[in-house]
Amino acid sequence: MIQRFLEGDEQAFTELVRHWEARVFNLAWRYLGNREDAQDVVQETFLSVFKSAKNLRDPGSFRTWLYRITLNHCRSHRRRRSPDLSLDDPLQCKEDGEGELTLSMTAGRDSLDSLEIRDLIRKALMGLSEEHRTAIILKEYMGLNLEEVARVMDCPLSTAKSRLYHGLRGVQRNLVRIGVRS
Amino acid sequence: MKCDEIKERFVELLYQEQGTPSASPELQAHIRSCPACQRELAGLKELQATLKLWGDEPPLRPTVIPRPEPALGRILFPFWRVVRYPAIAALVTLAFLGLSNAQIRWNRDGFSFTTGLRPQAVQASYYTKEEMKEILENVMNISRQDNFQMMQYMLGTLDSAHATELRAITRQIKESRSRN
Repeated sequence: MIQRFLEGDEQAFTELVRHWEARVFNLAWRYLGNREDAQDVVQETFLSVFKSAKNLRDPGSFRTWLYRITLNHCRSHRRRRSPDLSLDDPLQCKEDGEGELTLSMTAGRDSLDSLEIRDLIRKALMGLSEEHRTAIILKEYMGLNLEEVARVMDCPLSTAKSRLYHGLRGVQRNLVRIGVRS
Repeated sequence: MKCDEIKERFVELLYQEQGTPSASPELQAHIRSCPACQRELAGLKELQATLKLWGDEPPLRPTVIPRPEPALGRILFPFWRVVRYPAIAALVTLAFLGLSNAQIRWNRDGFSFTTGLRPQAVQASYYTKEEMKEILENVMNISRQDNFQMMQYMLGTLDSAHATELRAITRQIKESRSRN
């Protein structure tokens, strides 16, 4: 499909968009924390893919190339919306042990529903720096291996590992701050 | 091996991926012997499971598929990029010539280029003294010529009328003498 697209097959491009748009959307959504913004980024991303297809030399690296374009558009979108914004929502701190929520895998999971869980994790991720958040999203949600994460982030492998580790520790701290014990 | 030195390498144990070098024996040995690092590693694994609770969702709406430009556009666009500035300059020049009522003449007398941008000299609605004098002289000349011709005609008319009258009188005298 990718090869046909690179050869100029318009139908192949349509199939490609339908195949990848959900993944691009979820990458942008987790990065930006806003679904409407993520939808805009999806549109901009595929427009860029359409225009710059000739820049892709290796069809096998399409996934990392696509995710890199997506992240570039996410950063541009974030700068356009509010250049000084560093946190999507400020984390509400709770005293340790008081009104503590739990994300433990209880059988009924009746303490939190999935929307609340999603919202808490989203807040914890948005409290990270862009680099740490990007590393976590690419590894934990987009299914890239460590080398691919380094390639998308355009950094050495050791740097990608470091960002991933510190990102995970950051999420742990943020979840504790908002009163969640995993 | 100290705890702080190896913590960033925990990801090697978290993500035991195919094709990547496995965690070094020293790292594994340290983990086995360090309860703090064991707890931290366990916490990170649990966190990974927690993160998975945020599942994927579908996009809000289908993506609009970009379409290529029409073939004619693809052909003309490079050509337009080359000629656009000269074409714009030519249009501006023609517009200027049209709006300024430009006239370009090239004949035996030479080449001239004039525009209507400079205000024309307003012609006076009255005659100057010299002009009036000239006009009157012309009128007088014409009049003098006309008067002379008129007088000549009148005299000629009178002469002929006088001659006719004289002949009539002479005839009357002759007739009266013959009767007597």
